[in-house]
Order: sequence, then C-alpha cells, then structure tokens
Amino acid sequence: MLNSHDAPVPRGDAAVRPALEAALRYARTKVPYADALYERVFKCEVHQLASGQRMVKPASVKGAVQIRLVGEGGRQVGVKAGDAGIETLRAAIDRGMDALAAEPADPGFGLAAIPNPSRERYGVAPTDDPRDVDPTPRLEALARAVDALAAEGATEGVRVVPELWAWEQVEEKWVADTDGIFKTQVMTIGFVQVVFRAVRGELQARTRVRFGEVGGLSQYIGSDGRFAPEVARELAAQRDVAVRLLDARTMTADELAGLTHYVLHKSALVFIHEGLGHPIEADIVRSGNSAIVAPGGEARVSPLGSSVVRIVDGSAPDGDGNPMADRGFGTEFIDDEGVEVRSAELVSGGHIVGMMHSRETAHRYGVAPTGNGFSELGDRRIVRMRNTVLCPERGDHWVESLDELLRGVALGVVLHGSLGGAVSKEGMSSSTQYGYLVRDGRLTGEIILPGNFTALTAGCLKSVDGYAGPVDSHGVGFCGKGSQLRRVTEGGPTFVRLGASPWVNLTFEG
Amino acid sequence: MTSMNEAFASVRALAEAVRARVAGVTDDVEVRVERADQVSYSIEGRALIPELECDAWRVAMRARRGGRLAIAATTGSSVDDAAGALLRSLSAAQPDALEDFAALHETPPDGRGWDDAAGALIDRPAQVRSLAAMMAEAARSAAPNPDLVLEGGVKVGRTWRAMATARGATVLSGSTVGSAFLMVDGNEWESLAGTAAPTEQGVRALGRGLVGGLPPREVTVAEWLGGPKEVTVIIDPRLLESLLRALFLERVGLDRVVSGLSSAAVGDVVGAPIFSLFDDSGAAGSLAGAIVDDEGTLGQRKTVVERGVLRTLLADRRSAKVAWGGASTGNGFRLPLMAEDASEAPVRVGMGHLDVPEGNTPRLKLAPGRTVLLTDLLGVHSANKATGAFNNPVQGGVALEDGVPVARLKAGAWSATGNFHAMLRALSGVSAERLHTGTATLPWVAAPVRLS
Repeated sequence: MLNSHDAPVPRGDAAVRPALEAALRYARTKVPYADALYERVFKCEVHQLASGQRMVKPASVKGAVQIRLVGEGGRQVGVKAGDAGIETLRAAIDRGMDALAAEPADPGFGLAAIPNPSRERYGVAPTDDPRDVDPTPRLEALARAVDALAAEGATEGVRVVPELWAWEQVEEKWVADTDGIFKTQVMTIGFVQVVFRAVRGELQARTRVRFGEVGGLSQYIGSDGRFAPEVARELAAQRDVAVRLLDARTMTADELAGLTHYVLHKSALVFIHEGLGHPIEADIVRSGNSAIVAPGGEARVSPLGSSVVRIVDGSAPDGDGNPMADRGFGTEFIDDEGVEVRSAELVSGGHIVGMMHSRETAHRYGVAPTGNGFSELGDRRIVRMRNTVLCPERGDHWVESLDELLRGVALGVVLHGSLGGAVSKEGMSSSTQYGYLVRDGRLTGEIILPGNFTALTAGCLKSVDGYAGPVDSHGVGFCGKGSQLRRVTEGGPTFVRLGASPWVNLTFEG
Repeated sequence: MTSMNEAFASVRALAEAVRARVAGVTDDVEVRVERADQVSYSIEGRALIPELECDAWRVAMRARRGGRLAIAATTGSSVDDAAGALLRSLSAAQPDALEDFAALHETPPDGRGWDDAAGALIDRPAQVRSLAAMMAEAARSAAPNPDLVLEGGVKVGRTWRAMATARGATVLSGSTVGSAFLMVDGNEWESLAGTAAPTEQGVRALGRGLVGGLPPREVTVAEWLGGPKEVTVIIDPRLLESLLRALFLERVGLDRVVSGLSSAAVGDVVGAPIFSLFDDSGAAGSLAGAIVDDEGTLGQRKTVVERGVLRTLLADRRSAKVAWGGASTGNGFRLPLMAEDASEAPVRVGMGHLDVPEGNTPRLKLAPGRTVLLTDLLGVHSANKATGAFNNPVQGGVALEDGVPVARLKAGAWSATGNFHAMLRALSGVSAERLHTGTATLPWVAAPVRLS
C-alpha cells in the first residue's frame, strides 16, 4: 500500500518555485489575486496495434502552466502557457490582462479558501522511477505476455488478435498563489488496456479490459515477465469471452419485453459516472444543464433513487465502501487548485445530499471545496469527478453472491463491460460488451451480444433494489468534459440489480 | 505579439536543431514541431468564460536506426528536452516495416489553411468575447422561453508547423481555426467551423437559426411513428461525417486491411450508385487539409468511392509499403485516442477532408411522409467498429411530415439502430444542398434506420 508520508519534492523544484513566485509577483502588480498551476508529466508507454506493430516510447515529457488572474469586481481570466519560463509566464500574464479588461464585473465570483494552507508537499515517491530506471524491458515484457496470452486463446478456425496500450507516468504539479500558498504533488499512475479481437472468417468479436491504479506497471507485470495472477485471470477470461461472442445472439423482442431485471456487473456501471455524476458537478448545476439539481442547488428530483442508493465521489473505496486515501485511478491528494481531496457524499438514502465543487463553485454555493477542481495539463480548472462509486449501507439488500442476488429474477440479463458512454442533459448511453441471460433465478449460460444500455437520469436509480459482492472502483476510464480529459473510475458492488422500468432500456445493434 | 516570420523561424529552428542533434546516431529522423495560440469563450448558461492559450509547443519525433523505429514526444521549446527524449528512445526502438521517412521538398511556407482575420483575432480577445455574446443573445432573442439553457462557445486559434526529416528541406505551414458551437437545453445544437474567423453575421444567424427553427412541440417514437419502426430517415451532414470517420474508415483504411480486420478490396460495392466519396488530405480552407500529412506525404485528393464502388484504400507510409510496396495516399495522421495528446499518438491511417457530391433533391424532401431528420447520435465513438453496427440515443433532430418540420424529438426518448455499411449500400437519396463542416463538404442523405 502506498502512502503520502514523507511526500517527495518534484524534480526541478528549485527552479520552478522561483519562476512561479516571480510570475505571481508580476501578476500581483496588476491584479489583487492570482494563482498558478504547473503540471508536468513524464510518461513511458507501449502500443501494440492489431497489425502487430509495436511501439515503445520510454520517455515522453509534457507540461503546461495555468495562471488565473482575478481583478477587481470579480473579473477573472485564465491563461495557459506552454512552459514555466519566466518570460513565457510574463507574456501570458500580459495577454491575460488584455482579456481581463474586456470582462464585466461579476460580484458573485470568489474563491473558497484553500484548507491546510501551510502544508506544502503531497504524493508518493515512484518505485523504479522510469526517469532513472529504463522502463523498456517491462514494456516489452508486457507486449510479449499479451501476445502469448492471445495465442493461447486461439481455437480451430479462430484467431485472437490482441491490441495493447499501457503506460506509466510520473505526474508532478505545483500550485501557488499571491497569498503565499505553495503546494506540490508527485504521483505515479499505471494503466493497461488490452483489446482481444476474435476473428473467424468474416466474423469478428471483441472485448476490452482495463487496469489502472496509483503506482507503476510493476503491479501488473513482474520483472519475470509474468502477469500478476489476478491480471492474468481477468485477461484470459476476457480473451475467452471474445471467442465465445462469435457465437452469441441478441435478445429477442419477446425477451426484451418480458425483462423483469437488469443486473449490472461492476464493469458496466458507467451510468453512475455519466448519468448521475455529471449532473451533480456544481458547474453543470450552475449553468442550468443538470436535469436533477436546479441552478440554486436544490434537487429537482427527490428522491432520486431508491432508499438503498448511496453514491460517493473521492478516493477509491475498500470492499466495504470506506475511502482509501491513496487508491484509485482517479485519485489525487490535492486537486489542481491545491485543495486536499476529500470524499463527497452525493446521494444518500436515495436523496441528493451534496455536490462536487471547485474553489469557485464552493464560494458560490457557500460550502467548503471538495477537491474536485482539475485541469488537463494547463487548461482551465473545472469541476471533475475522481472515483465515483455506489457505496451502499449494509443491509439485507446487499448479499454476498450473484446466486443470492438472482433469486426471484424471473427473466433478467447480467450485463458486463462497456466501451464507453456519453451523457446528455436528460440521460446517458453506454455500450455493453456482453451479457448473460437469467431465467427463473439462474444464469442460463446463454451469452448475449454487445448492446446499448440507456438510462434516464431522473428515474433510473429508483428501481435499484439489491447488490452483491464487495465494492470496487473497477471502471477505469477517461472522462471528457469540454475539451478536457481526466482519468477517473466508476464502480460499486460486484453486481447491482435494477428492476425493469421505463427509465432504463437495453437495445441491440442492427 | 508573434510575427509570422518569427513564428516560422522558431519552429524551423527547433525542428532542425533536434534533427542535427541526433543525426550522427540515427539512420533517419522525422521531427514535427507545432507552436499554437488560442482564444476561446465558453457559454455556460448566462456566463461567458474566457480561456487563453499562449505559446503551446508540441514536438513529435520518430527515428530509425538499424531497421528499428524509435518514437518520442515532448511539449515545450527546449531542444535539450526533445533531443534527449528521442535519444533515450533509441534504446527502445522496435523492428518496423517502415523503411524511411519522407523526402521533403523545398516550398514556401504553406498558408492554404491560414486566414489573416482569424490569425489577428487571437490578439483581440474582446472581439472573440463579443462574438460569443452576440451568438447567445441572438439565440435568446429568438426563444419563446426566457429560461433557455445555452452552452457552447466561440474559438479562434493559430498554429505554425515545421516538419523536417533527414532528407530534404524543412516544410513550413501555418493554419488558423475559427469555430462557434451552441447547444440548447442539452440537446439541439448547431455549429460552424473552418479556417476563417467567425463573423458577427455568422454567429448571429447560428444562434437565431438554431432556436428560431425549433418547432415548439416535441414527440416520442410512439406518438410519431406508432412505436419502434424502421424508416427512411434524413441524416445531417455532421452525423454522416461522424459515421464515416468512426465506422467507414475501419473498412477502407489499408492498415485495417493489412491487419486482417477489414476484408475490403478495390472493386467492392460499398455504397449505393448515388454515393461517391472523395478524400482530400490537401484541401485548401479545410481543417482536415494540409500541404503534407503527419509523416510528410503530400496532401492529395483521392476517389475513395465512385458510384458505390470502392476505388482506393487509404494508406499511410507503413501500410502502403507492406501492402503495395508503394506510396502512401497521404493519410498518415497522428490520431489521438482517449488520453493521448496528438503529438504522442502513433501515426494511424485517417481521413482528410471528405467530399460527397451533391444530388438533386432538396434536403427536406429526401424522405416523404412521416420521418425524422437526425442531427446527432450520443456516443458514436462506442459504435461497433468491427461490424459497422450502431445503436445509440438520438441527440437532436426533428420530426418531418412530407418535408415540413413539425416537432422536436423528445430528448432522451429516441434511439437509432442500424448498420452503417448496410445503410450506405441502401442510400435512397442525396440532397442538392451541401454543408461545409470545417473538415468535410457533405450533403444530407436518406437511409433506412430503426427508431425506437
């Protein structure tokens, strides 16, 4: 387990700190307040395409600065600069002042105070730091291991073509302001994505599996070139599902019409992120684009879900739903405004009880910031999710096994996996990778083709009535908002059961 | 303010310095440098949010040594950082079929994608703000409902590029981008995009046209079609472009054919006889056109589909070498997926500016009786690239009665299912009007889709 004690100092701190401080002194001659964020990422990466082409990139470096200038009367503007050189930063501030002059006063604008202002250092030191230890052998080993695993999955007349994308990156950031705040964070993040395409003649099927977590790639593949056991199991399982999908079927119209329940595996919970997370981001609420929270912050829909629904955004939870400060693909110790990340309870007992906030939205709603203000490499800081997870309270509704959960399900479908989702104001859509039919409380073994699961935000949680298995922030992904991407997860218990309702729908490809 | 000459000199200097730094230890090298500025104002409800980007540098590099390919990327203008990353990557170079990089020819800096007004507007952020405000105000003034929720924005940007390989000259190019986008109540939207700056007239017309053109009534599938049903729908050019890039590329990209993921071959019938498609990676005035693609091959116009028959597969240098032993079609692009930055992304086969010739039917008359015009689908990226099948919620569209818009499609209540490859073969109409989306010039088309 990683921890944040003795947090490391980012490399080049001795040069970056004075440059940011000089830029902020310059900004202070022009505006009452300014803050700066410098993000720098060192990344090593391997791509293996379906063509077999393998690309190993042991060293890519990127970075950018965001400077926020806050003038009189709540006028404010953000400027992104390509590097942290003082001349670049001064030029960016000058350009920002031109834009600031055009801004009307905004008396409601303000920034909530940054808690714990005196603490400067956060994060965990990388192990086998790829900046010092050549990551190439591990990246190549990953590709070889995926190739071998795919080859083992071939059957008569069926090829399994793998694709791999994996990286490890050391993320460093500095946050400083004209009030004397100075904070840094160092994090290492590892990510592995494998796509298995099963090909039989003209017929193709595919599955995709992802792993992502705080820490490096060594948690997935050892120095002996072997996958960690749980990674090997999951990859082999998804490879075999791709082959089985060549003989899968869609659900019939009668089956769809007669469905009594949907059971969502933890890999198919993207609707928690898309449909329920985004509409509780305070900037979306304020703009009027949330279907479930009015711009004033009051719930438009109450209750939003059944009494067993509880949703939390923050660091990843353990199996019982309790937050672990240093786990989860979407986890950080401080956000990109210097606010320490804390868990935000969004829905409890089926009712909306909180929102996710940046410093700006926290000020507007008169609450404490939650550490949800993030930027993509120097872009404007906006409200972003981290790990958004269904964390129910214990009770009869939460059982141990899928078998128990399926009791009483007359006709259901267990849905696994997603290749992505999208959100609109009213609802969301996510693909499903495959499913299994349930009849009379038992899995039938009939595998169902990829489909599309849609949910209307205002009502889809009302029919959630049961859970099975431990909580896991399993769904590793990249959330797009505006033009920015951010690493996130969504998750919940291993299985989540919903009764059929007009709020959710499953359809299949034509 | 950066002058044009100064900007070109700076990107050239960085590209050539990196090339020189690695020349002694590589067989060949390719360096692509970008330097960009951008100003945008986002509309978020009643608020206008400024975002400025100054001097963003991106350096994408590849090198060959002993039949192996090395790849690296950096941001920033430091030669040390860029060359250091590339030198370090040599130890991780992988065997690769790519035998050489492009030999580049001396040309004057290319400005086919440059618009002076857009380039200048970046230094006048107040004017960009004013354009965003005008667009929002025009929309609100056309709305019967004062509580209209708007999101969108106006953006202008300029980029200078230098591309250098070990052989030949350094190719310089500059381009601008201007765009405006507006969405109403999280569903209906309209946009304009191109290399030119948005104009006052243009953004006002966009805002007014989007809101003023929406029928007040909204309908469900049951109300309009009596329930789930396959009908011939009219597809907006923006949706057509999304489907072509997301799904048709999977069929006609030579790298997919080489991988065995597509069985397409020249001569295949891939569309109805009324459908032809051109790809022009060198199109002037397009955001998808440039003097060279991302690996230095000259941009060029190809007939991809002629009256329904596949005439050309699209290739980058590697796939062309492997499959044909010949030349790329100028379709090698650094297409980022998910969290990749463009400079980090591998070169993949992509599409340039897409061009589908017009037909002879007014767009709203393409499908008679009760049908719908589909503007967009939610999550086209999640469609099945292997088969061309899609199954997505509808985001934006109108119900048509003999070509007359009579109602909006109720948000969240419609989904569309089909197979894009089958739809192309079954196209029943191509409109007389075409839309320039910024990256394509396309008509409205009519095709069968199942609505539910």
